[in-house]
Amino acid sequence: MTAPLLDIRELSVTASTASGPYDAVREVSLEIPRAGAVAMVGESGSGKSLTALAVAGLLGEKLTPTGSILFDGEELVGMPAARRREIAGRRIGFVFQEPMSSLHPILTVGQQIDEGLRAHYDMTTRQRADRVRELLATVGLSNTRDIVGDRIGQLSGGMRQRVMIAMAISCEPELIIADEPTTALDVTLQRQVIDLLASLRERLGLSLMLITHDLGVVAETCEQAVVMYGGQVVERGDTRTLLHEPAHDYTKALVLSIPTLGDTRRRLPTVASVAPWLSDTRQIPLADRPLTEMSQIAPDHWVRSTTAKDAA
Amino acid sequence: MTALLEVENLAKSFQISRKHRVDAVKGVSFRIEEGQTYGLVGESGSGKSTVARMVARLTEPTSGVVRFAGDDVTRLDRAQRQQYRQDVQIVFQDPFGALNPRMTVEELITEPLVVHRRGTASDRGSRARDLVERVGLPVSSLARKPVDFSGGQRQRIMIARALALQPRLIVADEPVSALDVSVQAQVLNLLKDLQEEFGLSYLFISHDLSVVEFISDQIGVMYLGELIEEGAKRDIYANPQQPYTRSLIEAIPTIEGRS
Amino acid sequence: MLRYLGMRLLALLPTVAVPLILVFLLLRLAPGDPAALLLGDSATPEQVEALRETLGLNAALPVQFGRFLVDVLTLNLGESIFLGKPVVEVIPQYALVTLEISFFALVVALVLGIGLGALGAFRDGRPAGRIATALSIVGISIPQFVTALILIVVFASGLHWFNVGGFVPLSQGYFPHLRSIALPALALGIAESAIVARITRGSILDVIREPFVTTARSLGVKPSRIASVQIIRVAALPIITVSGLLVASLLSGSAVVETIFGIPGMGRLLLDAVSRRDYQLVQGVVLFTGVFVILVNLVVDLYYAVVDPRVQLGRKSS
Repeated sequence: MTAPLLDIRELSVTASTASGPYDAVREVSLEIPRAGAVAMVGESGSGKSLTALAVAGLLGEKLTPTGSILFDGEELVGMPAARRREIAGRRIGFVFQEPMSSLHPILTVGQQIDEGLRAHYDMTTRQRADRVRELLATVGLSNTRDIVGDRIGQLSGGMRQRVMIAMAISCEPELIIADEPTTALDVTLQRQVIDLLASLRERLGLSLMLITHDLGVVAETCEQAVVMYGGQVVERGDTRTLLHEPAHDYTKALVLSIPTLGDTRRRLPTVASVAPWLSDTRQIPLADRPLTEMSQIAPDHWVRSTTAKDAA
Repeated sequence: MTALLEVENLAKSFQISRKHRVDAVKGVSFRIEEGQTYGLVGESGSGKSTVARMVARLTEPTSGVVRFAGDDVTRLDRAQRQQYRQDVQIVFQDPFGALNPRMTVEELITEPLVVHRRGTASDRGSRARDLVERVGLPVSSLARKPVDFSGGQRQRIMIARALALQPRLIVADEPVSALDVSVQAQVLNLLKDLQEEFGLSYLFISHDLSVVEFISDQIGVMYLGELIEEGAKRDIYANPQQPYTRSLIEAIPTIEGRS
Repeated sequence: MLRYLGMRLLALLPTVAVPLILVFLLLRLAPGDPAALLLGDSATPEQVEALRETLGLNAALPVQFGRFLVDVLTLNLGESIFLGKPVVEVIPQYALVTLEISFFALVVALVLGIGLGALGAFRDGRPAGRIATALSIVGISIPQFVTALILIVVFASGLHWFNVGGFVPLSQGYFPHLRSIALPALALGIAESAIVARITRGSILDVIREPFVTTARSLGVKPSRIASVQIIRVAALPIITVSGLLVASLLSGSAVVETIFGIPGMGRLLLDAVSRRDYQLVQGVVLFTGVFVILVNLVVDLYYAVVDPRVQLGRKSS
């Protein structure tokens, strides 16, 4: 069995706040195989975005990662900034959530994609221009009008997201991290982006780390899923198993609380009704309690145990 | 039986410049029965929010009629609008922007009562206590300010505030879209409970067809300013007539995944 | 772009009207009879009346304004009473000196200001940044004449690198000329650099936090390139806007340094003219300065449109 492309072992991210250090991510472990797709599922505050930013080396100044992130055998935690920059874009690409604010407001589409190419390749201006057009065609933006000279304010939401994806794949990375790429989009655009990511995966052999709270998207795009809550992994494994036979109370609550088409339920279960011990405000929040063990309950299924005292 | 709300050929156009006119809403008609929820679903640019604003009388329609309990409320003078506002309240999407950060929860909830001069100060105080408990927040919330609350809790505050005047119809414009999934479930449950308890009617706007289907009795699908399909909730999903509706349904990623 | 230029030129007209109207009213709003004021206390009523006729002060106000406009357009700005020469002959030589000093001062203000501001932003929180920020706060607090005097004490009387004042015209040699305007330009520039530094720092700090900077980092773009290409492009906008106002500040501040250093510039000319009640000259200088500043701001607007083409579409840039 080949080594995974991304191997995260007990990664923690500590935030230095005014009231002392705080672990926003606690000992997260997961693997992404080559050409595999793993979804990081959770709600706000779960730590999924911070984990992704830690992998990409984009944490802010007040956030410190500890633990190990092995990317193709190389240790990313503590890596010198210069080497990090070589990897960023060239081997790990990032698709951000809000293309309107994550793309430069004044530079043109061509100029922005160009920046990534300049950082990693020794190409002539002509070669870069050709590559830009090639990339735009790959993400399906060539049959509409020529947008290389446009600024992002002149593009629609769906087009902006595609530009974002084009930028992320511009230097042929092996891993794409996508942070809620479909959340800000309409349903039909969402579908286009999901399909685009799937086709790119196939064509370019990319691995995908997809951060989302949308279980439907997870089911359709990723073979594996990691469920996060309170900064820790609560369950992970094969997507189908997780969604149809969830072992952890939180995962169960998540799956049950989403309305689906054709749903005949009169009331939706919530975390409070499915797993009262998690949301009980009289108890210490899970994020502040000591970590329990992760146990393997099936070949591709791990769950964090909830000991007797948690369920009290 | 007269419907609680009747909308007939409602239209809204915006004149952007001399040559450029945007027809945001083109001739939309539907009815909402008392105690029922009408869900308006569509993507951005479909005009659904504009319809909501016209029903809530925040925007004047360019043409068309809005009838509430049989009376034409399309062109109201100020006094009549005041009365209408007590019957029809609106809940917005953004729980962070819609609440004045300098006011306490109690002040926010009782503000509509103050504006419409209903009840004495002590009446208002006890009403605030009732409402805050009804939406599932502790009474201690009353003295705090919005900044102390999460998105879901702020949305509950907005709902409490909307209930203050005992309205008959609540227009909810994407009330759960900005919320986390599990919180969304709580707020949706709350809306249903309140509907049963107070006999409320809802005009529920959303781009999320699953959510709309869950909460609504009747659903209308909007596309580019027009109401292209309408039906009871089960029918829309089981038997979509229009190709757009079908594509909307098919586009939704489901837990089953694609085969 | 052409359309934008056209619109800006059109917008110019009401703006230029303001100094014109103010200057027009200047003479006529002064308490007392303008003609009497011009002639002084020793004038006889007949002389005053004669001057009134000559100046057309007996006509209706709109008519006077019409004639005034014609005069302005034909550059018939009257004669300086004390210098005995037409105003349009007097102003240019003084104006050139002031413009030269102001130009160098502008360069100093921008280089020093942007430098300090950028340092304060990119090294925010660290010693270098804090010192830079502190310096700019000090700079704002110190008036120009204090800066000028400090410079004189240190560099002129102390180190003898410069003379303590006096102006050497270009005709007497390039280097001596530059030496004579170096200190005044520095004094003026340093004083104005502080505002530039504050705005630069604030602007860059705002932009650094923007998500698109993170995107650039995710692509592996070097920080120096992110700063110079992406950040500067957006952060420069408020600085460009301020430059237009800066020019106005410099022109008026020039009067102070010209007085201290004994430079025959337009600022000193104006001060003298005011104290001598040389109204025609005052009028001429005010008009010149007003129109000049307006034109400079037009150029600034056009440059802004080049850096941020979104402005041309009529929408806001943020």
